[in-house]
Amino acid sequence: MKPATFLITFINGLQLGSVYALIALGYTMVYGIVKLINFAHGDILMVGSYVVLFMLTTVFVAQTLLAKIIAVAAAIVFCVVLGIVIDRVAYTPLRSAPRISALITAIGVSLALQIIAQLIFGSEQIKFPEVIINETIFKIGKKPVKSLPIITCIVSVVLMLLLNLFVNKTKPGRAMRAVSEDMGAAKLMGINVNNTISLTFAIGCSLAAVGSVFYAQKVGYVKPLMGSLPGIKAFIAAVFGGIGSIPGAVLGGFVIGMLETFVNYFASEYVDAVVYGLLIVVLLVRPAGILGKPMREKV
Amino acid sequence: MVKRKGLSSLINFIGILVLFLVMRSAAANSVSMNTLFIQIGYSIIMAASLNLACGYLGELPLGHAGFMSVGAYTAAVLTTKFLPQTSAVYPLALVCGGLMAAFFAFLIGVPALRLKGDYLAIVTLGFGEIIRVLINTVFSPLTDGGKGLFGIPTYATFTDTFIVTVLCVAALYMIVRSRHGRATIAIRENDIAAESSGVNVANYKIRMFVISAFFAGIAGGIYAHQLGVLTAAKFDFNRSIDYLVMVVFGGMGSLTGSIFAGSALTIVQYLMASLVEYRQLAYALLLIVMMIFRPKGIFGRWEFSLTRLLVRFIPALRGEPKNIDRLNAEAVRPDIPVYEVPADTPVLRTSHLGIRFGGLQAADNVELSLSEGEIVGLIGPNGAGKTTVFNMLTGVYQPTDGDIRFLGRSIVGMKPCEIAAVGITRTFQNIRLFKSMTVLENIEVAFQTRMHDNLADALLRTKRFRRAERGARQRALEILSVFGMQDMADQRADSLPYGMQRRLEICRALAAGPKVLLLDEPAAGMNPTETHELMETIRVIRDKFGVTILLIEHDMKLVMGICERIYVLNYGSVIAEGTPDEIRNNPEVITAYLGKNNPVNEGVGGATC
Repeated sequence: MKPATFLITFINGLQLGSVYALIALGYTMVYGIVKLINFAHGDILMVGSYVVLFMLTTVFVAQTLLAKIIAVAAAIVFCVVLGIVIDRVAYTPLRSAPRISALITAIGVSLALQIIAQLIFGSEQIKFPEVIINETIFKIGKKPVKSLPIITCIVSVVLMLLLNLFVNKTKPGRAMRAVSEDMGAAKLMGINVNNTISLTFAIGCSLAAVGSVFYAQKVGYVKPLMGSLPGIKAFIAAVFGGIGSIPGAVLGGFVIGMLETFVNYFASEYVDAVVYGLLIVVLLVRPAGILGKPMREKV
Repeated sequence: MVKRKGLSSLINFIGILVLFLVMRSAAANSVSMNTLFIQIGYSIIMAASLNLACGYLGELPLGHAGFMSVGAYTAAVLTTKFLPQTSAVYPLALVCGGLMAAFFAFLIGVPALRLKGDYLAIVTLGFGEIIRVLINTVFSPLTDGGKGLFGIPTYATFTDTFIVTVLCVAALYMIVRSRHGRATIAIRENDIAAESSGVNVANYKIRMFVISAFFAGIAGGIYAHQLGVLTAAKFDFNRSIDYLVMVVFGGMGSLTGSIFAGSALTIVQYLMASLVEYRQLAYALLLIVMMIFRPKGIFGRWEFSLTRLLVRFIPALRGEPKNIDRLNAEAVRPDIPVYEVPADTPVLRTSHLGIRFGGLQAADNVELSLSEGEIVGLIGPNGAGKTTVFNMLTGVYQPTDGDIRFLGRSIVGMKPCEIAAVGITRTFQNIRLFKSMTVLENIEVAFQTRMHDNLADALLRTKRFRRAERGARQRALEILSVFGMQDMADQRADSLPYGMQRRLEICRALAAGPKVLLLDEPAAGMNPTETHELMETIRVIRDKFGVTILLIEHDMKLVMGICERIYVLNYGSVIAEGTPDEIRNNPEVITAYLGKNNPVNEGVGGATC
């Protein structure tokens, strides 16, 4: 591998890693607070990119900068509302049910989103318009460095820093941490648990909506099943970093993104196998994840 | 109730034969009917086998189609490329497919099932995806990769599919209705209590998961030999979900439900072949709605019994077996271990026992010693580390310091199920019963390490199996009758009143035939009358079962009333040891309970928490 190729691959890895990290944050925050693997989270990514596509092809005629901004904003709003509705309709009634029931429901939601998208937009992939400028900024050797990966990384990192500030320094953030630590105690301290959970879903979904724009533009198309694979990989990233841990999700996202990009360079057909292999190794060696704390059940 | 074993088998055999003849005459004249019936056959096997892992074990495998594909390809590659071209090899190919699927399940089950939580779901989901990649890449010399495996001999006929389906479902039923099935359900209900009752949780989880995959592999083999062509893409996530829907719809924990839903949904699939998207949408919504409004599915955990149905209408069939006395005499009861207590050796002794959780020293230098037949109390303020000591004694926590010797032998490092087998059992502070199981079954679970029938006995319903089951039932009823609970034997455990639940937990702990019984706050939540009864019960237990008892209790009347010696724990260390009178007047104990400079100086005997 030439140094220039290495650097380009590295930047691509950061780009993919940023997207995974954004999605993984949604998984890890929801898991941290309601102990549920929200299988539908990957499909929120798909919904977000369809909203952008719909806005830019059907609602607006010209793809002006303003139109693009409105399209992205609409995607965020739509995903946030969808996330809250899913939680209230499908997950809240099962808060005290066995875990397996909630998990099966989450699979049902995921499937429903995919099929509804398929019924509305068809199962074929559709080209995704250029939302973010993707010009060559400079060159390493003969290889161009484009603006999309750079913008993806910068925006993602800024969002993650903001999230960190929010969770650690604000009152709703404190409420979120309290609920994830002990839902019963938080309720007794006057925290509105259901609203806090909705807020968690809202934040997770808004990050996924932003991620959806970056992801859809990177792969260049949208289709109903596009969310499941990045969804699973982001989940693996969250497990790798330590499910429930916010810095863990970011770390995991970048590690998986980087790993995938480099494996892809050498042997593209084994990408998924290597990522799942990593999951199995983590579960064997350090099941709580790199930054996670092992949990004990009180006997 | 019919108890005539032979009669019941005959009824079932005739029932299945009638079903077979009816279906065969329908299939004989119609190719599409034939195809549909074979599809129903392997769908039922898929749903029933998934139910074992999902409904009975309580895990959520999301890659059941992956195991199906392993079985399908293994069997198909064998019959197409290696074995002679005759349908005589078909059963062999099916079994090989099952074994290969079981092997893969073992490989992924070991890392994933070791852990608590939803990891199996995600690992099996990953497996389902990877296996398709592997079939198309690594294994492509055998599987012909992406272009698909063609020319598979179409050995699958209606008759053999019917026979294989009946055999598979019967085998699953035999497993579920045996001590292995009870252990599996106990894990689903409460894994910590199951482990402490002697069930090797890790071992059983893997065993049941592997069995589940084995049958999925067999179903895959049938699929391959019906279609005659295989492509990896057929075994995608949606296929796994199709079978999950069958299990959820029919009822998690009901094989009848899986048979019903497997048939009904396969017919729906057949009729809606051109409306795949709407069917999938309906499935998705069905999953959500079922979980919210009827999580137990159509049949819940109910099983259909032809014998029961016939007996209701034909009273002549009713009757007790004639040779019931002989059966009772031949029953093989669970072992009661004989313990040799070496002279001058305490039954249980800890030295320098300690445990550290991160920065917290939860127990430090704890020295306990129990002599044969003693009733000893372990008291101390809240958070003193009493339950932590119990958890170390029973292997739930591994001590970081010191040693525990039971009958002179160190038991540090043993798993809870091994410690239960060795002779130490316990109850729990917050009751941990197997809630949906009956009172009798709760006790029978604890015979796990004391019974000798194996999985093969259960599958073939051998004499050894029947004798062991009868013996277990007898012993369980005996234990219940000591506590006056024999009339509740067939009630659900969670339907008992609170005091009875506590008693049942004690029964279960005694069932394993322990030498040492650990009771964690047995009187918690009881009123004074009940507490008084409990004191009597504890003495009776000691005398009747020959156990040594260590109990944690806050009720000082009980502790002072029955304990011969008392240890007082505070901040993880033993601060006093002695007879009730000595403890009552020990100034250090009074300080620990009431604080310094407390004007009340009449001793803890008056302070009832």
